[in-house]
Amino acid sequence: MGQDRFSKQTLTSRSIQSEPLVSLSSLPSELIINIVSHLKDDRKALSTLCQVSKSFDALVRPVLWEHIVLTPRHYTPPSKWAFDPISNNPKEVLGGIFVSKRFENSYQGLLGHVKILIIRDHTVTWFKTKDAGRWTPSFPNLRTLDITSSNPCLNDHSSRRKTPCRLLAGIANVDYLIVRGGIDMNAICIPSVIWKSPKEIIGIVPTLFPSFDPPFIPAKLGNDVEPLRNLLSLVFIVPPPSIYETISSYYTFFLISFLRLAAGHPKLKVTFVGEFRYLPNQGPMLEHDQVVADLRRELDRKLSSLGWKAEEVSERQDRLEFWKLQDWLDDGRH
Amino acid sequence: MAEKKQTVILQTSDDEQFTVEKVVAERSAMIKSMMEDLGDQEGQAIPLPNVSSSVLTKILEYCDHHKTEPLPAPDANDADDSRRKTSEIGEWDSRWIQVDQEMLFEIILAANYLDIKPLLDVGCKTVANMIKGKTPEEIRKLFNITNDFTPEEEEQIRKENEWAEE
Repeated sequence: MGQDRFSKQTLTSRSIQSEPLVSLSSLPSELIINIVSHLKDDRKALSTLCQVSKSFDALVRPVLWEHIVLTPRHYTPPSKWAFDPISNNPKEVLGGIFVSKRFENSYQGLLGHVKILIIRDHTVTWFKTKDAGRWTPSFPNLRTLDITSSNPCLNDHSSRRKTPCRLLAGIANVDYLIVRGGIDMNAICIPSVIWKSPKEIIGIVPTLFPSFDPPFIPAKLGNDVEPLRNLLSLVFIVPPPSIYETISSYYTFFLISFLRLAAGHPKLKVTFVGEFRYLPNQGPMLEHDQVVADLRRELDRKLSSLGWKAEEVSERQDRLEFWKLQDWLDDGRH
Repeated sequence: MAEKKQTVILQTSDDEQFTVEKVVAERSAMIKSMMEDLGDQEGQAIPLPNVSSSVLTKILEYCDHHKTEPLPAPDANDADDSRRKTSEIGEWDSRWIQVDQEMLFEIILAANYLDIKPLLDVGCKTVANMIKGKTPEEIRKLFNITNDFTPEEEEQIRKENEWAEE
């Protein structure tokens, strides 16, 4: 292989000494930010860098605050949500700062950096409005809200008392809304203004069975076309194993509610991600492709019996996609 | 076998000329596009006024080692990002990048200027690894950075970021 190497006509050591000394601080800030981007998952290192010098603080602080996770101190993700790709580091806690109003001045400015807000277990008490001494944070630049709710605002729900959630009250606009958990979407206290803004809503649910209300979008918005004007994509992720003993009529009912929604939203695409396998009473297991084909045929039948024209049915079906989880994750677009 | 390898001449800031196989030089998206602009003008040297001969020698070693790998797609930024986060520095690369700090930063600057994305990542990742697990004082010492905070300011920042250190 030696002959393949580049040939170098001359090499002397002159002029090397006269070069100005290069150091970390002398790099242009875009390169320092590139270096820092490799530390994104190491919040301890980011925080340490902020303490190194004023110029590092100015560069690194926005990175440190760009992506924050709120987690109760003793949070263990329910095992049934096997699919939880972002919670590699579920130990981050920010809740404390909302407890007392004295933090407002020092933190509100920092929250302007937040682009991704992940809330693990939206039942924790820091968000209640009762205590007037606490403050309502605002997140003016938030793009992605990722919220896990096992029992969303449980107290409020059981007592039918709708206490506005202080944490979410300061959020007006997001591009991506990710909701995790098998929950009653009508009960969750995400203010309607947040449901209205996203381009994409992703629901990660343990099952498509009626433990939560169809449609996934709160009913009060689902029937109203205008409020969802930004919505281009609606994705449901059902973590494996998703083996069903029955393809219930609920399934088709569920899908039809989405195709109705799609009818009012010409650009909306609806995606189901999971591995849909079906074990009939008799005979072998039906695999994903077979189940999806059966579902589609069933949808065709149901929709035409509801009076939809053939071209309407096929246009809606074109905007309905089924993916296997691994394929969806491997697909670079997601 | 008799066919001559296609080469290009690169000229460094200290006026050294390097005759380099095109397939090696092409690792640099910047040189690649300059070669395309120059077309078939044989013998025309491509000037690299921001790269010294010692740094170019080192970088050509890298390019030569990686010359058979597929070039990263231009502007594949999103995919780029996730690849960067997940991938570790390869074995050869990590041995190759064991250089003194000045050379390391020279390599990063040159990789940025020459637009060799995988090399820029190797360099930046190496610096990131040097930062990991250190205290602010150790980082200042390692990179010769002056602490321009008052003790009060330093304490204030430490407090604000406290949650991240759980």
